[in-house]
Amino acid sequence: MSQTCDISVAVVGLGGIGALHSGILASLPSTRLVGVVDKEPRLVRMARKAIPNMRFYSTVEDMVTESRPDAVYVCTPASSHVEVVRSLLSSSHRPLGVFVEKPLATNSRDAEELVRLAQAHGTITAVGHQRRLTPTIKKTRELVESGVIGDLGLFRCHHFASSVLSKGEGWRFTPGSGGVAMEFGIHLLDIVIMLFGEPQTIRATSSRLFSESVEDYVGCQLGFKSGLSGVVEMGWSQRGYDPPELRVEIQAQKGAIITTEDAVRLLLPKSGIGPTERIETFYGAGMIPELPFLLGSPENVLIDLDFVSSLRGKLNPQVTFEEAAKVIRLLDAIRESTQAMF
Amino acid sequence: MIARLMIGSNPLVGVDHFSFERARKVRLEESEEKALQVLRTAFAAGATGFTFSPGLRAINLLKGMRDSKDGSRIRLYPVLPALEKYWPAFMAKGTYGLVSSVLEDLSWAGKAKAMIRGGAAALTSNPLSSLGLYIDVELEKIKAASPEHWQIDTVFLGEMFTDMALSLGATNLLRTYRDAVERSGRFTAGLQTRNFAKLVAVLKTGGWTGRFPVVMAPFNPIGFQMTPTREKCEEAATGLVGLDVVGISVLAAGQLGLREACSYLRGKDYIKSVAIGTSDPKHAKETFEFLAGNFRHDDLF
Repeated sequence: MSQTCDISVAVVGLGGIGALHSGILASLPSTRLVGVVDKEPRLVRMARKAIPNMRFYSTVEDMVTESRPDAVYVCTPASSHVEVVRSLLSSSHRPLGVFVEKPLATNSRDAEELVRLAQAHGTITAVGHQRRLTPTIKKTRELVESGVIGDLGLFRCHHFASSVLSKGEGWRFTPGSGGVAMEFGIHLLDIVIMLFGEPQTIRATSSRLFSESVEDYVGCQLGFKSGLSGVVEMGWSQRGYDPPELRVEIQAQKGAIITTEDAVRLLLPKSGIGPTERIETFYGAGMIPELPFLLGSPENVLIDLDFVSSLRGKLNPQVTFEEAAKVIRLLDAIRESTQAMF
Repeated sequence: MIARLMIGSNPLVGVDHFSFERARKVRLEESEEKALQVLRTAFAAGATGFTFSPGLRAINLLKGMRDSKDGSRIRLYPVLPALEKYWPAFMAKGTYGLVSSVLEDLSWAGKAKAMIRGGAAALTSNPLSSLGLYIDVELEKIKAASPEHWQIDTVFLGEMFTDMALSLGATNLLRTYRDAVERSGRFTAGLQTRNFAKLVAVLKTGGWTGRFPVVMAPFNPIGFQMTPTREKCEEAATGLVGLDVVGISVLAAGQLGLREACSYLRGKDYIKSVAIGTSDPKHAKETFEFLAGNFRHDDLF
């Protein structure tokens, strides 16, 4: 790390999410954005004109050799993650940390390969599952872990949007790298793993409404070792969900939690006359922490802050490669289950 | 002294920073006629301006007011670009995809201008010239949809672009934007931001405070969306000469009452305008009558 205690960071991939991370990283205190890589020459030409002070590269190797960053953000399509990370970790200047945008990989085999690569080099890793840092989701985790509602019995959750209402094109609609579960529902699957752990049994179904080669809806029943069971639904062709809705409902012995991005409602039994439930509401807007700079949503900034502070303290961030690999394992199991049905 | 009272389009078109549920309800259940009624009520109660992102719903509202032969003289404060329209392209295909989407959306007149300026290929390789073309085309669309006596006043660069330019040091983007707006007509170029303190610092460093006289930013007593803190934003604004701040999120997305918000705004000399949104005609009447009675200063128009 540089002597000034600044963390130097580079970004690979100047798509939407790469541009967003670049903007956030360039604004965080004691963090320097030292280079951006994209292999698309037109995009690099365009970016150079718009941002003359930034250093752009067309290859990862050139960037690492010249910029020597402490950490690198990999924001390329998921199918290229193994190749890019391998190239980074085998370079002469190996970065201390690697952040990979979600999904970590398109299948479990690649995800495990990334975990092995990072472990072999002692790399600090993170993955862009920023919904864990959404204030209402974070509060839900705190409430579950506090035991206030007792032993969990069942849950149901969904993430619905009205964003695909016609045939789509590109890698989001290509088998292997696209589909609603991989591209949209992955945040919900990560939240399920964060709250409840990895399931033991999975039974899934899927359907297509507009897409020809990938699923527009996935529903699955999950069973856990503890006896907990739940239903997860993901759909991007659901009319009536603009803006999208992420909802988690947990029923337990002593109470229940109903969470959306707007608020967390804690339902606890009430004695005496009147309503049988006491409801405590925690609004998301009131739980946003102080941020040094705001670009995109607060959780986009929070996940970058988490990674940069982990690099400083040489600690594990909230979502490591190991943690994100669990989500890919769950995705693979869902795929297997849906294929077994046909 | 508050000079401009603007009604904001967000609640009318189903954008809500506090509640996705409320936003969905508006998009599913509220009629365009009700939204037009809110606008008419707000203008009758003292609102003098309308600020909006020119997505399909907002353009339809302008057309609705035009078709009802509205005789009021309202100032327009568009915020460009229409994120609801172009954000999916940006997230799916990045900056290049965003520019391509804008170019695909150009009218025949816009495409003709693009050809004069060197063709679409030249524009995509230079986002700064694309920006000028985009502004021309978007403002023409707004003018065509609006009632006869309504005039565009200040054209704001939306927060996503302003803040991205601030963070990456792309200050030539801000300069190009200002030049393009001024070339498009007798309009003022404004900036919308959620990082007011940083913006002021950048404007001061570049000696630009007089060149972007209007800045739209959240200001409220609980610091909602005021980054990094309420205190830092207030400190940045204090003593600035020639900066006209349009206060947004003044009710902190419904967390504050009107009186509480107004007592905060009173005494903030740099806040010369406020924009408040509502989707309810009764609330529009109460809000703008109260604001007009407490703040409005006609001499400044």
